[in-house]
Amino acid sequence: MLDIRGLNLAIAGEHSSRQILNNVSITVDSGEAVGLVGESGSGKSMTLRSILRTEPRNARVTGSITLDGIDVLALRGEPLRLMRARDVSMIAQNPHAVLNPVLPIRQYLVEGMHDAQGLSVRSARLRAGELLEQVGIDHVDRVLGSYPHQLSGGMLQRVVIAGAIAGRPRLMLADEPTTALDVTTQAEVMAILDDCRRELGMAMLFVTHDLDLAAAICDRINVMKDGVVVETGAPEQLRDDPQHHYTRELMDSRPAGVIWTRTAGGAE
Amino acid sequence: MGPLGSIAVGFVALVVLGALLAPIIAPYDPTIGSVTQRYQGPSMAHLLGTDQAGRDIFSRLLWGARSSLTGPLIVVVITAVFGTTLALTSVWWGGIVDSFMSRVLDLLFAFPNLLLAMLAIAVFGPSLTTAALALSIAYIPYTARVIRSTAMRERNLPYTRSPQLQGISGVTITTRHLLPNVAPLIVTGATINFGFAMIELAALSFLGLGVQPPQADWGLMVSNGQQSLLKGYPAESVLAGLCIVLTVAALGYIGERLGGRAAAGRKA
Repeated sequence: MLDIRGLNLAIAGEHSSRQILNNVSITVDSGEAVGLVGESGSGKSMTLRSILRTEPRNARVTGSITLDGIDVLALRGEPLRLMRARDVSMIAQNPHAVLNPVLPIRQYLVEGMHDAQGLSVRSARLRAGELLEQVGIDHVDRVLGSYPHQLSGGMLQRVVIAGAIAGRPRLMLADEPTTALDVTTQAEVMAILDDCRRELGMAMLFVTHDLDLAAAICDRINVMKDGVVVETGAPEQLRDDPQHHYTRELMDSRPAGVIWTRTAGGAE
Repeated sequence: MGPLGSIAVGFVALVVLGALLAPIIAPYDPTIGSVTQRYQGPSMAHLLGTDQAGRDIFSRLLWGARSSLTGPLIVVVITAVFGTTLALTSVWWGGIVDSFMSRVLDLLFAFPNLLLAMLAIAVFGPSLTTAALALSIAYIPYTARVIRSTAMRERNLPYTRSPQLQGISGVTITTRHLLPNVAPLIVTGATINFGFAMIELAALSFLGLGVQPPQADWGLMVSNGQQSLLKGYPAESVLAGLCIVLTVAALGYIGERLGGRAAAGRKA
């Protein structure tokens, strides 16, 4: 479904340009969860930004990104807006930064459904409540009326997930969605994200620096270093027989005693 | 706001109230005087005395507050509406549109405000409306520039970026996300502009290019009182001038405090 082929991205400086992505090829099939693992600055986030066409203005992109055969890199204006509204949604790292501080949660959800997806305000309001229930929020009315600063990071990230699944996109991009959260909340939010994805049959490209986390929820993992995808494989394959020395290093740098597990409904 | 702020707000409220209630509380018609009553000192019949035409100065000050306040009000409203629209459009589209608008604003900057106003008056004839409209045009660049710079910063924050990724249209993002977050600045700017506009409109009235005699207007009163001043009756000019100075100072102080408050809120 998502097919990134030979993607190069260079950012032009005053005198020289800096190569951020080098011949990156990643595929995500329908309903599949694919991990993109690497350290900070490896180009993971820039890959996501290229898919949504929010790369920096001075970036030069070559190669191809297609979504169900549509050339994403050629999209502009209204078709691009529609792709963002209907086909692909994004969950960012820090929900506090994403939500407008002066608007209540209800506005955030209703606006997304009304303005982007064309639902009437009335049905968007009804659906906002349903969505919050779907992401495991109990006091729906209270949360809908709250402002971002009144809610915890975990709660806000659930709201963002609710917004991201509202349009039933085919592809969800998740950029370290739990990094900004504390450890106990991380697991909850991750489980909700995984459940929603499976329930709605969405594909996901999951960006993280945490190999274990990726292994727990992804069908396939791409390991990225310095703008290059160095290895691709199923989690078990990377665990048992890492081909690239960087993958091995990543494995060795994990805290001891962590056991690779798949969440319920996984392949094992 | 502190004690000084309370005094400032109180004074402005008093002036506004005086202007609104002028028809009820003014003891005399501001345009009709009696030659036998010229240059009266303060008395129970004439609280602040009379001018060279025997008109009651207190009544004229009350009625004068009307034109002295409506003029700047027109300027401030027009300036805020157009300045904000220009700034936000410019910020949203960026690129060529932004450069073009900036150049047009630079061009307007090159004209001294009063000169632009006099030009308009030379063409359309002297009246308060013409003076106010002309000043509005002269003030738009100031407002637009200040709002543009703040909006530019807000535009690049994640909360205005992320709706774009949800496929929300530019118009919605601008009006629902950008606008509320620059609103404090608009209010502050308007308050300060009000003071400037008041002085410049008074100057135009003083020159005989704004409000026309025998209407009451503070700027006009300062000008009318010149003759009396030389004859040793300074009341009219001094009192009207005092009204202008105090109102402008009070508004300036309020504006500054509002601005400080908005800045503090932004940091928090």
